[in-house]
Amino acid sequence: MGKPRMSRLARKEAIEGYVCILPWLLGFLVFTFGPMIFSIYIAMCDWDIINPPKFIGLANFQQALFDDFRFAQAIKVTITYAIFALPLGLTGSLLVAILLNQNVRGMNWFRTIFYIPAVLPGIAVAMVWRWIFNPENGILNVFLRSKLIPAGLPHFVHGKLTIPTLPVIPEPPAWLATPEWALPAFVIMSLWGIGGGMIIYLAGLQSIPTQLYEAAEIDGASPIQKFRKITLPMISPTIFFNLVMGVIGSFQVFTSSFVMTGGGPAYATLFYLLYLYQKAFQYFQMGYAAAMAWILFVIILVCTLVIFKTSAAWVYYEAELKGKR
Amino acid sequence: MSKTQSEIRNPKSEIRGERIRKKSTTERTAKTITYILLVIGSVLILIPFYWMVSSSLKDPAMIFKSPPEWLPTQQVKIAVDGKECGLSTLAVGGQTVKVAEIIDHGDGRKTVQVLKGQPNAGQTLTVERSKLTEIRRVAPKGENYLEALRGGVAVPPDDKGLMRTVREWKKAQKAEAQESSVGPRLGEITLWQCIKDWLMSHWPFALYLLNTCTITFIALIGQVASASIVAYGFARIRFPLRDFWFIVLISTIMLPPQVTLIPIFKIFTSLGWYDTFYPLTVPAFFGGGVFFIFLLRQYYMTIPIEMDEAAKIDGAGTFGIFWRIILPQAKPVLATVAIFSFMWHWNDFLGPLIYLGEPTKRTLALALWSFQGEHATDWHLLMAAATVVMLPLLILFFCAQKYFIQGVVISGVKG
Repeated sequence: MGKPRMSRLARKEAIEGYVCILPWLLGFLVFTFGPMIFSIYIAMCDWDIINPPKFIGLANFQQALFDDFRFAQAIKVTITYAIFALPLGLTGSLLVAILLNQNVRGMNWFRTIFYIPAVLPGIAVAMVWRWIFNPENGILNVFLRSKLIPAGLPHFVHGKLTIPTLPVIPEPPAWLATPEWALPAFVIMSLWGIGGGMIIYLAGLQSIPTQLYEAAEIDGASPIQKFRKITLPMISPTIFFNLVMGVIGSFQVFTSSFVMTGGGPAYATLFYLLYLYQKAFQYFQMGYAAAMAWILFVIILVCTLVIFKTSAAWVYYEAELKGKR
Repeated sequence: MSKTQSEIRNPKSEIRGERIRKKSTTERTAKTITYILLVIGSVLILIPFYWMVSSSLKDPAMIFKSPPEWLPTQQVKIAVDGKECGLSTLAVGGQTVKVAEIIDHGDGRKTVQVLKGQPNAGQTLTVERSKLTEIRRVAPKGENYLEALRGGVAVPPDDKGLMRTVREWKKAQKAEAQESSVGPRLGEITLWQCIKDWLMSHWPFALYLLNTCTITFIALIGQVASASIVAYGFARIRFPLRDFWFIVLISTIMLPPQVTLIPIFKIFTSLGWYDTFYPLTVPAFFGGGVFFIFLLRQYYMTIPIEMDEAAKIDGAGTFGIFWRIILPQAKPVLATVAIFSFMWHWNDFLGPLIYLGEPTKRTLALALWSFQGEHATDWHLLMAAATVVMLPLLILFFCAQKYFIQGVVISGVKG
């Protein structure tokens, strides 16, 4: 068993290994790494895809960050959306997961119902919600206008017993047609997809060992204490994951804004990716769009790093303490 | 807070090794509240679905009625002198009688005839529309779906069936360069083009469905095949720089796709692949998505290596092990990958938006978008189309729930 025979085997394995990962490797070079390099170059050019790119240095970045009100608006819209949709979504899906974890009968049905919206094509969802938000005939405003609030004592009118009622909101907003209420409409719509995060939380909740809860009960812990001291820490990795995914996700909002409002009214729903698309495929300013993509990359990187760094303070990894797995 | 905790030894639970406490009232109220909240939540989630389906089955006139109805209804029709008329009630002389609307003047007035068996039977009156109360019955208008599937055209452009069109094409083919009676161009196009044209003018959504299926299934096969092989390489084979490449793989998950969007677009257009299905299917064969590779690798690593070794002793090579041991074991995860791949490609909107141009090449997602452009206020049609596009996924989800949940769980909890 001399050295030559060993290296021949190792060489054979090396070839096989590279053959296996070759599809990915090629794909990485052609569809990821190459484009990344190319994209850095384009970001520093003025390019409308018909004429060759013209190098202009950092002018795109300068214009975006300091001189373009629509870019600032895109950032504002996306961040505002994230600030509202993320906490609501995270808490909402956690709550639903906790409810579902209670061993109620028909749990599978509930789980299915909550999860389905997350599976549907974005364009179909956008269309349905556009109809829901229709100011005159959409079901939301119809509901808000309907007289459901009791406003007086029951009495007889024409021989029939009636209760005077008031509408929930007599003049509901025109949602997607107004600059003030368009973005909140998107936040509401995002809550419909709460089931996506809920499933992940459910899995996390179910992996919490019940002995912890039993031990706490023996010590006389109240449900709130159990939640704060056991549930929350044990699912903090899941919250962390959902948070990171949520931040990245809010910068990927495209189809709904493209289909429902086209960025308006008055740029109130000009999401980042939508503006990038417009710059690239409607205004044919590919260089500018590439610059936007890199700015986005930096933003996401910074956000993720910040979340990572602070995670040491609030994310609890059992594996670190017990050293298992 | 004192709770009654009496440990009841239940024989069934003894076998499972549990101890069951007698449920206290606080627990029962907690359960009831939970149940109520879940039911309320479910109803809220289901309302958009209900609204979509009921709108899709409504008569267009009813869509804009305010307040809207919960169930789709249509006016009852009755035949008067061989003509179909709407049935309504009208207050005549202090009494409410049933009348048939025989003429609609179009300016807010209608001529009605009082029906037989009532006071003033046979009498015709012309009244304001507002004085009439339509008699309606619950009747979903299924024709909306046909109209939607035909691309919003209520009546097909011509009566020619597919078979007749194909026969005409064959005739035109034989006639070759001669001017044939069925149209000079018919002989010059391929059979597939002929079928596509017919579909496009009669049942466009069938064509869009075909396109979407083609793209989705090709991409699905590509992703499953290439991801499974690449993951095998990372999981089971030792080769130099393996860990380095794996870290590279992981870090690409963090890369927002926007960064590579434009260069990739340029690459595909330079290849002449604009307005073809290639940009949407070919990338799937090159690694099949980092996420799936990661998922599969994690799963492969839970397969006991002894099985590999046993196969090796029996003379299997690396690929033999892959084919005979790993793949069969990995069926659950492969199913999950397949399902998520299907879902992703079926729902993809930006991809087809960027790369497809010709109407005949549209996918369902793109078709919905242009449908909305053409029929911005035909909500009944829009909702019917949306329902149709959602349906395959709903069916898939119901059949393969287990794999959906499983996939999400593995990625979320272990990710």
